Amino acid sequence: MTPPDRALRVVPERAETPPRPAPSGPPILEARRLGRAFKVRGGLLHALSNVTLSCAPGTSLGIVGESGCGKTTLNRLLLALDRPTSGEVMFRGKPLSDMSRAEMRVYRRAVQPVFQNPYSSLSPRMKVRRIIAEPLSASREMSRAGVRDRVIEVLEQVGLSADVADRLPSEFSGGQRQRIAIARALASRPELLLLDEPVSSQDISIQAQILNILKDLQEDYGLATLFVSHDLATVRFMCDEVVVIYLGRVVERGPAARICTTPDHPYTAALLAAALPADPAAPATDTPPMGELPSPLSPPSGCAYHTRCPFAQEICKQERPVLKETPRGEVACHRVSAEGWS
Amino acid sequence: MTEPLLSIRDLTVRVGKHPEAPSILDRVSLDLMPGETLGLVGESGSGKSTLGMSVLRLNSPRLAAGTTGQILWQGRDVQKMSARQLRRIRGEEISMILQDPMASLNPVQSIGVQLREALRRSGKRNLSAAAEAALAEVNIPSPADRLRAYPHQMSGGMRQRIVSAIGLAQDPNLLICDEPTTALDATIQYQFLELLAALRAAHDMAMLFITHDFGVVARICDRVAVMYAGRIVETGPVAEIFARPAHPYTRALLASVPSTRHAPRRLPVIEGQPPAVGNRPRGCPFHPRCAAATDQCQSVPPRAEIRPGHVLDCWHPQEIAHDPA
Repeated sequence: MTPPDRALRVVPERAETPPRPAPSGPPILEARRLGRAFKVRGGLLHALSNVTLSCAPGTSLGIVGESGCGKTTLNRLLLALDRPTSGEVMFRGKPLSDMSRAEMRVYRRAVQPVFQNPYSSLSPRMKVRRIIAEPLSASREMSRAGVRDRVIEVLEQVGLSADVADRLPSEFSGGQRQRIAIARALASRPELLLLDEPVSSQDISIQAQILNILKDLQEDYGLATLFVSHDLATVRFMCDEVVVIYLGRVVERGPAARICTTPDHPYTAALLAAALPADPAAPATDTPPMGELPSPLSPPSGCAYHTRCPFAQEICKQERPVLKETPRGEVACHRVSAEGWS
Repeated sequence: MTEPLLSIRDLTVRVGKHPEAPSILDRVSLDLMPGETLGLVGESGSGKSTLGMSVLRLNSPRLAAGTTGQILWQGRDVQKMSARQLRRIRGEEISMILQDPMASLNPVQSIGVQLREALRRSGKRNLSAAAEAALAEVNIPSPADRLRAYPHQMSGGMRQRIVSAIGLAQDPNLLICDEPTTALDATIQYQFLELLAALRAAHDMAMLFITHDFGVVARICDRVAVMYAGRIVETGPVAEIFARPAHPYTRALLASVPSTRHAPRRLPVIEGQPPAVGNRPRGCPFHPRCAAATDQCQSVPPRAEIRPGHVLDCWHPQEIAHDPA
């Protein structure tokens, strides 16, 4: 615990682990055995294979992996910006591919994205008011006065004052722009936010501000979030559950606290070792990350991670491990059984 | 006592010659000993990159015109060097690695051509063999083949290793690293930092490591200088600063970094944002965001050495042990 400190403006400490509403009701959004392959010269590139996950109301799911692992492809599929080549994305139990235009409109209101770079996600020519009101006006359900009030309301939710509404994005810093992007996502009263690396382009002192806003939204409004990130520390702070992806496949899944303390998959362990703590006295890791990401065009045989795994055996080169359930979550590794490590 | 390799005294860099012009760096002083790694840590706009560039006199003419103070490299004043003297120092005595390796590498020349050019300046004879050895030293597999490759055929991690090989070709005494791992994936960053530590030992060189990441500082630096709004607000040995940060900015910044080890309900935050160049507050630049600030903080804070080597500029230093978990 950090001692009481005058220099920090700390929100009064409540419980260390937030009392979160248990997952209630059917999932808002699900991916079922989702796959996306791209035709490229020289064959097929499997960007994503067999990914299953679900976002229930009031929960927060983290998707972790390095660049090239398929995080962005997954995000695009979940946002219906792209179509899967296998599997389905389901909204409230119904496949997106079977939905009518009216149903799609409901889906687009309920699932809102926030992107990494608020310099490219906000139109430089629109005033903040119009940026935030656009998703509302598109639905044509609210009166003009209703839209105006809603804009002010969501600006306040992200800690901005009402006078921000009549200015252009260029007048704001990166952190303020990201708040505006979050306000836009909130305008249509979504049930689920898809956050794709929402703080990784921000300065550290600004990252903490944005993360706290997002946590408030989770807790105070019961908003479900899917948080895509390369950073396990941020995911530990934001999420209940974590899915780790390597070369387009889920390699481990489990509660965030467990994943960040006792990971089962060697890749998760390597990611954890690479998340350098701000502590020079931290003990050295016994699972240092090795090697580079192989080309997804010709993925290694068997377990895709075997080329970088310090524990790889003969079987790892030949047979792809299936994702199996354990008491601790799910893991795809020949070395891990329900009882633990072998 | 050994002489410092690099000694910076009251370095001020203004945007132009005018004495009232906005300053990017404000009376910065630091010493770097041979073989030592000093981390310069701060948020964007704190002036850390300008400081790195000043050492090699690589700032734009406008900033160069607004530069006052002293930069002594092995006792010689960099500000007063002729173009010829500078050319000798750059690369041969002081080398630099930047964030984006593609900005350092020539996209239309093979790795071999670029590496041999650097090696030739060092006076090596058998350039091809030396180039192969240089690539092997930075863990590039099958170096002989890779010499014929072009930068675009390599991964980001490999490119950054090649930039390091070029930077070390002339065996410099100081390597300035400006966010060299920021664009790399975490597992690649980890390996690159391991490599840098090995190269530092093999070449017996000092490093000036510019970063915004406290995790990187903890991993690779001996000492750290925390920058805010153009000033060094606190400096000291890494173990000391992480265990007992005393400047309210350092304390608050360290506390606001999420950790994989625990999940607080809220992150302690620093309200507001760093001031823009030209709009910096009087006195202590941090006082408008500081919870400990008083009227006193409107005047320039005193400098105090609170423990050996642990120096800070603050009216209200906070000496409470900090739990880095």
